[in-house]
Amino acid sequence: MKKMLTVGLLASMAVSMAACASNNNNNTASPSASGASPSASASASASQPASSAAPSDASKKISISAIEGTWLSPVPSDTGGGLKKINEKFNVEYKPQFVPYEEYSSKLPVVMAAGDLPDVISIETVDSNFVKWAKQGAFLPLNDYIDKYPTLKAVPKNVWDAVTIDGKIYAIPQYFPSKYGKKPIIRKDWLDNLGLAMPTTYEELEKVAIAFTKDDPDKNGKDDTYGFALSKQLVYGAAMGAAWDIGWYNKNAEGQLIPGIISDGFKEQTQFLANLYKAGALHKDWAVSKSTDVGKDFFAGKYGIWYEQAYSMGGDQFKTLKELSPTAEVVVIPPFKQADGQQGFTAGQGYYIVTALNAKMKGDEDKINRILQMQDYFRTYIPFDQRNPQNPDYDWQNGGVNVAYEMVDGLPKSIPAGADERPGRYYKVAQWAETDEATEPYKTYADPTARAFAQASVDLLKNTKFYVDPVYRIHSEVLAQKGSELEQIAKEWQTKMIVGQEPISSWNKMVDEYMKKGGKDLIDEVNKLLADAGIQGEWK
Amino acid sequence: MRHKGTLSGRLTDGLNVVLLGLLALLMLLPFYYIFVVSFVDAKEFSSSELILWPKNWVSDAYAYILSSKEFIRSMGVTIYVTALGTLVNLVLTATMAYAITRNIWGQRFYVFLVLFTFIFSAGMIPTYLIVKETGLIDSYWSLILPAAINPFNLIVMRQFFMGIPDELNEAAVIDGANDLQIFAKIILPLSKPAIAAFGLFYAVLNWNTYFGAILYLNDPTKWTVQVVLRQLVILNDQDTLASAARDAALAGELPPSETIGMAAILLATLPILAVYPFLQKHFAKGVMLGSVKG
Repeated sequence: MKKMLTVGLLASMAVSMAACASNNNNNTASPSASGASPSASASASASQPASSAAPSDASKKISISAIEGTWLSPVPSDTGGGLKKINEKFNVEYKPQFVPYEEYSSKLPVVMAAGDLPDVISIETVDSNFVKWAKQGAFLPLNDYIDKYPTLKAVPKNVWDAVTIDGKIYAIPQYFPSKYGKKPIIRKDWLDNLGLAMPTTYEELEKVAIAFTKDDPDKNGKDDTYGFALSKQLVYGAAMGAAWDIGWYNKNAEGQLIPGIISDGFKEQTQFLANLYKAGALHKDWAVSKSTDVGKDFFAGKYGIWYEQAYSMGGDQFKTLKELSPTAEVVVIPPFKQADGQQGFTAGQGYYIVTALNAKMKGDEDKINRILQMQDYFRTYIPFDQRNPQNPDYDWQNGGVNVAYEMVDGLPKSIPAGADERPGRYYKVAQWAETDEATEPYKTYADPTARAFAQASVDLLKNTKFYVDPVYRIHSEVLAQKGSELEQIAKEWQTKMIVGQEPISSWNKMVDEYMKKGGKDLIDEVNKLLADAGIQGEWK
Repeated sequence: MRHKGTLSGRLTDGLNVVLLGLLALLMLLPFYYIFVVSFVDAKEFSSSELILWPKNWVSDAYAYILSSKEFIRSMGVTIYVTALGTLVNLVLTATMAYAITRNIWGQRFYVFLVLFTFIFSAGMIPTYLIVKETGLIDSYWSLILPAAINPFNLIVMRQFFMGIPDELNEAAVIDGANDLQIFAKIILPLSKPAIAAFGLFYAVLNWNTYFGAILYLNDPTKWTVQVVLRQLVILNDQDTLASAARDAALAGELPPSETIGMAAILLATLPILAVYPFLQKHFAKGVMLGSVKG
C-alpha cells in the first residue's frame, strides 16, 4: 500500500515537474515520438516531451545495461535505493556497471573487443578509440532523435561537431562549460601589498612574478614565496590569451593553422618562463612536480600565480588558503591584448564525457526512446535557486531531503550514509545549462572565499571573448595517432629551454623536429579537413 | 675480502655496517612517511610542510576506513582470494613440476607448452574472451585460474625436484610406493623450503591482485582491496577537467584526504607484511632455489 502510494506520488511529481519544465523551455510544440499514435502525442502535449513518447510503450518494462567510468568512491552498490527508484520511475531494469576512471581506458576496449557491449556506453572524451568504434559501426547514429529532446536540442553546433563523423552523430555530449575551465589566477592581496598593478603584458607579468619572489609579498619576513607556479609537462603553462595557448590559433607563412605548441605565441611564453627560471621566480623542481602538488602549494600560500576554475572546483582549497593566510584574495588575470588586436582566452571543448548508444539497438524504437527519455530527464537543468526540497525533481534525484541530503544554511549537503538512495548517483550526467552563466558557479560554494573568487571570475569572464578552437570539430587520424607524441617532443624541448639547457634560439630546431616527425602531415591534414568542412576558428 | 683482527679490516667492517645500515634506513623512509602522514590532521597536512613528527596525532583516517564497509569487505575478498589462490597455485605447480621431472610420455612437449607461455602471452583481449566463454566473469575463480601456474615458478620448482637424488625414488619404488605416494611422502617433505618460498611468492602475487579484478569482476562488491585502495589514493591525485566532473551535485561529497590514502596503504600492506617474518628463513633459501643443478 505504502509502495503504491510512493509510486503514485512519484508519478504525479514527474507530471507536475514536466509541465513546469516545458514552460521553462518554452517548448509547447511537443515533438511526437516516432511510432507514437496521434492520440498519444496529443495527450502528451501538455507534459514534458521526455515523457511524451511514453503512453504507447511505457507499460513495457525495458532492460537497459550501461557501462561508465566513475570518480565516485565507493562506487554505487547495485542494491541501492536510488537504482530502484530509477527502475520504478522509468519502468526499466537499469543495469549500470561502474568502473573507476583510472582503469576505464583499459577495460572499455576489452569489453568492446569481446563484443560484450552494453546498451549505453559512456566515454570520457572523443579520442581515437571513439572515432574508430564509430567508424566500425559500433554506435547508433542519433541524428533523427536530437530534435525530440530539449536538452539534446540545446547542444550547440560546435559541440555536436565533436561527436559527428561523416555527418552522423554518434554520441550525446555531456555538459561542461566552455568558459569556466582553468584560468590564470593571481594573489590580488600580494599585488596590493607591493603596490603593483594587475599585469597586462608579459613584461609586466615578469616584473610582478619576480617581485612576488624577492620582495616578501606575504610580509612574513621570510623568503619563502615563488612568483609563478608551474608543473611538469607545462600542464597549464603561462598562456594569457588564445594566441599564446596550445590551441590551433596561429597561422604559418602559408596561411595554414598550426598547433599552438610550435607557434610564435608559445615561443614568447617559453621565453617568459625561461626568464622567470633564471630570476628564481619558478620553483627549481617544477619540471618534476605534479600539478596537484603544485596546486596544493599555491593554496598553502607559496605561489603568487596559478590556475583555477570557477565552475565546480570543490572549494575546499580556498578554505585552506584562508586559514593559512587570512588576507588572501585570488582573482583571474584578464587576458592580454594580442598583436592582432584580439583579447581573450581559448574556450574549452564545451563538453566532458560523451554517451553513445549500442548500434545493435537499431530499430528498437521503444528502447532507444526510453534511454533518451532518461537522458533528457537527468540532463534537464535545475536552476540553482530551485535546488531544494521544494523542487520535486531535485528532491527525487537526490534521494529525498533528510534521507540522502539536508539543507544547511540554504545549501544542500549530502548525508553520506544515504548516498545510495540517490537516483542521481546511478545516473550521473551533468545538467545541460543553456548558457555557461546559467550555472551560477559562485552560488554553489559554501566557503565565502571560494564564492568571492567564483563571483569575480564570472564577472570578468562573462564579458571576455573566447576563441573556439576548430580542431575539436573535426576528426584527424594523424592527430589521433601522433598528436600527443608530437606534443611530447615539443614539451621536452621547451622544458630544456626554460631550465636553460637549451637556448631559446633553438626554437627552430624544435619546430624542424616536430615537422619531420609527422607535424607536417598533421598540419596538412587538419587544414584540409577544416577546409572541406568549411570550419574556421572563431571568436565568440 | 675480510681481514679479521687487523685494524683496517675492522674499520672496513664497521664502515660497511654503518653505510648499509643507513641504506636500510633509507628504505624505511617511505614507510615512515606513510605512517606519519596517516596520523596527521588535515590542516597540518595542507600547510604542505615536510612532516617528520605530527603535532597532533589523530586517528580519524583509520576510523574512517575501518568504518567503511567497502574496505573491510574488500579486505575479506583479498584474504579469501589469497588463501584459496595460493593453495591452488601450490598444488598445481608442485604436481606439474614433479610430473615433468619424471620420464613420462610427452614430457618434453609439456615442458615446451610451459616455456611457450613463459615467452609469449596471449594478451588481454584473448584472455578476457577465454575467461568470458568459460563463464568465469564475476567469479573469484577468474582471479585464480588464469594464472594458476606461474611458468617461472614452475621451472624453478622443477629444477628443485630434479636436485633430489634419483636414488630416493628408486628406493621408494623398491619399497612398493606408487608415484603419488612418492610425491606425497618423499618429495614434498623434502621440499618444504621450496613450498614455503613459492607459497610466499604466490601469496604476494595474489595479494596484489588488481587488474584482473577490474577486468573480470563487474560487481563492485567483489573487488579486491587493491582496487579499493587505489581509489582511495588516486582519487586525491586527479587534477584536470575530471576533478570538476567528479564533483557531486551536492556539496559535502568530497573525496577523502591524503591521510586516508596513506592509512589505507598501511592497512592494506600490513597483513602481507606480517607473513614475511614467519617465512623469512625459507624465503632466503628459496632465492637460491634451482641456482645450482643437483
